[in-house]
Amino acid sequence: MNKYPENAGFFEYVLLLLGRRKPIKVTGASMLPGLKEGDELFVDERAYDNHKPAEGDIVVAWHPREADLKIIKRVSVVFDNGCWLVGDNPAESTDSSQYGIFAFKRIVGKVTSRF
Amino acid sequence: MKNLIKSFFPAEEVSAHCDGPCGVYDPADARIKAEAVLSMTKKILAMDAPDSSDAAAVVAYNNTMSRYIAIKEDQAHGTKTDILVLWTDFFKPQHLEATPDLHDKIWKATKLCSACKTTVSLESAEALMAAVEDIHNIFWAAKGREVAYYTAS
Repeated sequence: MNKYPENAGFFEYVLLLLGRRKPIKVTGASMLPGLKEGDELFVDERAYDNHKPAEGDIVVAWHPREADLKIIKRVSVVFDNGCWLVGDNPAESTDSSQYGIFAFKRIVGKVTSRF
Repeated sequence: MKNLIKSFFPAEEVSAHCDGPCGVYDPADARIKAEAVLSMTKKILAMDAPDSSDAAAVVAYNNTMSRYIAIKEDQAHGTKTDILVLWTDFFKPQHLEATPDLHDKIWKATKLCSACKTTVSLESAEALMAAVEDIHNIFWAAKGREVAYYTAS
């Protein structure tokens, strides 16, 4: 069962003020049913400084072909060299099934909560 | 409070899309299959029935005709699938502003695929090619690119 980010608590807002959280807004339908168009989330861009992503994490990553386009997907499998990312809604997701493994350096951060 | 925070920290958009930015859609898929439909239709219409007393010629004729029909069926259905995928997965509500009759065009194009399956009609096959060219132009205009239409045959 997929887990979805909880509503941000007070601490998350403190981290936002400290610059440790970045707000993002979802566009598109590939993360339905849990995340829909317009949902606003906090991202920790330093979450993976010291450890690898974990399976099930929702992450923001750089698109492999489009410059300046960030995408939001879920980590399906973690390999030695990167992650296999998928959308929760495979019928409307372009992800590792087209692009293969996302190198760790392309992972921008981890979604921590919604606000 | 939340709105105040949002105004100070505007959220950056991240894409959970599956569409144009990835470049994985191309109406060329539909065009190649529609060309096969047209080609098979022409071949079927050009076939001469053999003398019914020549058993070997009848077998050969039936075999060739069956193959042409099978390919026409398969490729017409494939054309329909490709067009429907563009419609459901690529085209977005904002594309209707530029092409308000998009739904009608798609509906008619896919109806032509059915007509090409159920009949041997040069007129339908050529109309399907024209519909695919129309979709090609709408598709690339939606992506803001100029891609010249061409056919392989």
